[in-house]
Amino acid sequence: MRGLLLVVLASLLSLLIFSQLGFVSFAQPSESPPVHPLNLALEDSPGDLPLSAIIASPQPVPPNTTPTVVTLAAGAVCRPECTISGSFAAPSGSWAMILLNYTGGGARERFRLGLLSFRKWC
Amino acid sequence: MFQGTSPEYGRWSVLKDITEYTALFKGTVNFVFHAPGAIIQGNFTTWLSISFYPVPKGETPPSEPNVILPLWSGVSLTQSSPSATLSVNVPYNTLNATLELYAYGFGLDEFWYTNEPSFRDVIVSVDSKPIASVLPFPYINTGGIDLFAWRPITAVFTLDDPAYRLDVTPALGLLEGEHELSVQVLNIFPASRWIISGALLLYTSPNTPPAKQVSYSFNGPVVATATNPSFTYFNQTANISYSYSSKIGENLYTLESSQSFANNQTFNQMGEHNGLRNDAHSDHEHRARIFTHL
Repeated sequence: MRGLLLVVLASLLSLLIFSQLGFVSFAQPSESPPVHPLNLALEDSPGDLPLSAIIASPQPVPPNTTPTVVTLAAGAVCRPECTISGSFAAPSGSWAMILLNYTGGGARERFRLGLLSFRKWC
Repeated sequence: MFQGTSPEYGRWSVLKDITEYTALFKGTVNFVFHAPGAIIQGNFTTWLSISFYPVPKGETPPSEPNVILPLWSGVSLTQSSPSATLSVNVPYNTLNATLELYAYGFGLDEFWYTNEPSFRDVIVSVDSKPIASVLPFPYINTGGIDLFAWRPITAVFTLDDPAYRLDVTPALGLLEGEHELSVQVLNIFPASRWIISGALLLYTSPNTPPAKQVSYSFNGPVVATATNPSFTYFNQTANISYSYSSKIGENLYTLESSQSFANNQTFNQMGEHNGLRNDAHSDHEHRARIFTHL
């Protein structure tokens, strides 16, 4: 009886492995999907804090032109909370896309809400 | 233009397409990044940048609103102060208007859909006439309900909550000129606050005539509540319907909106939830009757 059970289990296991291999061979694309360079910001590198958020929705895809980058904050440390404000001269030009990049890191306990707003002097 | 909740710890990166705010990026631009945190003996680090991508050769820039009127910016509404009012001056030559609204409950209303009553409605009015009703989405913060459930993928929209958007072109007959605009959250729970931000995104044109309001009606919300003496269930339903239209030149713009809300909660003998279902539907139908001279 036990032998029969083992045979049945072994058959089921081989069926499972075969079906998975088959699935993988059919589902695997012939080449790796293109990785947008912006997504690299989401990848962990050794020594960094643990990655805590992967965004499930697709990232915006900017056009293939060289952007003018305005840095508003670079590694500003807040404890426990903060307001970062300032002003900058908007670059002149005609824009196909304007992209905001907010990158954050937190250590210990919790941080709740981030708000960002822009105001134009009138 | 950007609101969300960060993770509890670690690091994260959010990219947001803010091209629709192109009109703000002229001359000197003031910015504020506000992070009202709930860190206990901790710290967080912020990097912020904006990348301006030029239009590729041979292409034209996207058509974006040319006037942006900031409304509320992180206004806190509570049970004792459930509304905020301000003056706006919408140009008389507006072709198209979109209301953008952020609404997010905190305190006991962080999980408003588990409270009794559960019905919440964010209503925007012009001179006390409601023009927009928003049934809020049940956002869950990164530590919400289960502290450890949201790594590495956070709850829906958590890091970048999208604004509620409504094309209010059919209300331009009420909006154009100087008016009082107010926002109100119905049924805010005690020890709760709702954070409200918003803006009007406008397309204007020098040759556009002033809008005339043709029709207006707003009904509701009609709320029904059902429970029992032993409090083993608490159900609520609500219905809202509104419609209005404006004429701009010879063109007629109409909005017909119907919304429904249903929330069913069941409890055990200890008063603990053992069942919850929340449904909200909004149907906004916009119609435009455009006259052309051949």
